[in-house]
Amino acid sequence: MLKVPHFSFAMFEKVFLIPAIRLIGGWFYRASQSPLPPASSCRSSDRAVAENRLCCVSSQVSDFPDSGELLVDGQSISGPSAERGLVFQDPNLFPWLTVRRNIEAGLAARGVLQQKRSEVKEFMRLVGLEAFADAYPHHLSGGMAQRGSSGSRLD
Amino acid sequence: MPPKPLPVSVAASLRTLSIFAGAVALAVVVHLIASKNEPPLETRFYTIFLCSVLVIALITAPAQIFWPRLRRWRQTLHPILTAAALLLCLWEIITSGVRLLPLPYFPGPAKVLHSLITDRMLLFDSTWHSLILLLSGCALGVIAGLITGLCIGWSPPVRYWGMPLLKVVGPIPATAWIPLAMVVSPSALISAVALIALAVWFPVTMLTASGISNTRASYLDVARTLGAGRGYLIFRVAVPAALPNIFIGLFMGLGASFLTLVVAETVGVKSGLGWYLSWAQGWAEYGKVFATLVIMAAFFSTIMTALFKVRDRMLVWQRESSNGDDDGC
Repeated sequence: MLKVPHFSFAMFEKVFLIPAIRLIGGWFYRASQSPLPPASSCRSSDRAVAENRLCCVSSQVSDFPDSGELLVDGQSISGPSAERGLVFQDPNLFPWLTVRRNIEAGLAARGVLQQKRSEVKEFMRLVGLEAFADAYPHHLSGGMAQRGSSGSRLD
Repeated sequence: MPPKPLPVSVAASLRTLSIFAGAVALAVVVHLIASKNEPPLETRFYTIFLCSVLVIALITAPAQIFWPRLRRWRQTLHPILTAAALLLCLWEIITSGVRLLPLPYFPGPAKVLHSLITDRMLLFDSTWHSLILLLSGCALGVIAGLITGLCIGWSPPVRYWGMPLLKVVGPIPATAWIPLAMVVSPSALISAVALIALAVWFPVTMLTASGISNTRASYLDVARTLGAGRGYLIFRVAVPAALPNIFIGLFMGLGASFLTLVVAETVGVKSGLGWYLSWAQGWAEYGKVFATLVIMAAFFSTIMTALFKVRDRMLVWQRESSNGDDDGC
């Protein structure tokens, strides 16, 4: 369950304090049981992918919020972890891996690729990149790359 | 009528072909005139060589009409081959023909080819020894360079202590260590291997370290959110991300290794192309000196080309525009 108690994330940028949570969505949560945050806090294209499986919350990983905190199942979030998927503003697919390998990367990193190989196909279908499974990221368009990126954060 | 455009390209390639064949024919004529001054035994191989090139040029003319791959291949290579034939012509005119250059030092192409063929066993042996020496030195240097580069690039404490050492000791040319290496090591061969390894080690370490430490932070963040451990972060994220840099280091190291190889063979090791070069110079056999240079050109450029091929294969994931435009092979 995701909770957002009086959370603010401000960036000093050109003197203005911008509530960064309104900038773009960053953190996707595995939260099939938790409600999606309001549409204003994440980009529509991200939402479309997210559907019920995921929801997105904040911005950059390594920055800390200026005030407040984000709680997932009562635990405060302090940095990147495998508990949460992360979708960046840039697609950030690994350019040295094919789309399939990128989507497999999370499973491979945790050493569970062998058991869960069947899921990879479903993730690729979910983001509509089955036909580009063996393409390298530099062959993808921006939108395709972003979808591939979302695909590689599912698991 | 689909094959209509074919005759045009055939005609065009025939035209370029006749230019090449003409250049070779010119080389033959020049050779026959110039070689009157030379002992016939020394010019025999060159005559045979030029004539066989001419025959091949004439045979491939009709053959390429039926063999499109040969045609394409020839069309791209023609200007280069023609220039090479004309260059041989010029060389022969300057040396054997009008004797413009002092003779023992600048033999004509016929004499060089003669040395190349008559001394082929020793040359082959020297090339083999050079290859073994180069490969063992390079392998050692690359392995050491990758390990130290990885440690320096990844770990801040190692970088703190290692980087100053690398920056101070690394730029010393490997050949400058020769006096020390000769004293320390039990045999010239071992010191040569160590020197080549040192020459390769520095650029490989430097570029690997900078590539690893400049890995985009977002790749590492992505991998961390995917649940990657340290091994995955280093070997599946940082190393592939640094691979383009590592290859630059390998190319620089390879160039340095050629230099060190020849110098080490000239001063200490009693075999190899560098040794042969100084030995031939000692006897004032400049035909053999030039023959060694020809062998070296072929030897080193083959190794370079092989590394380019490996690079192109391992870096297919890079954008085409930044890849494969600089080797031309």
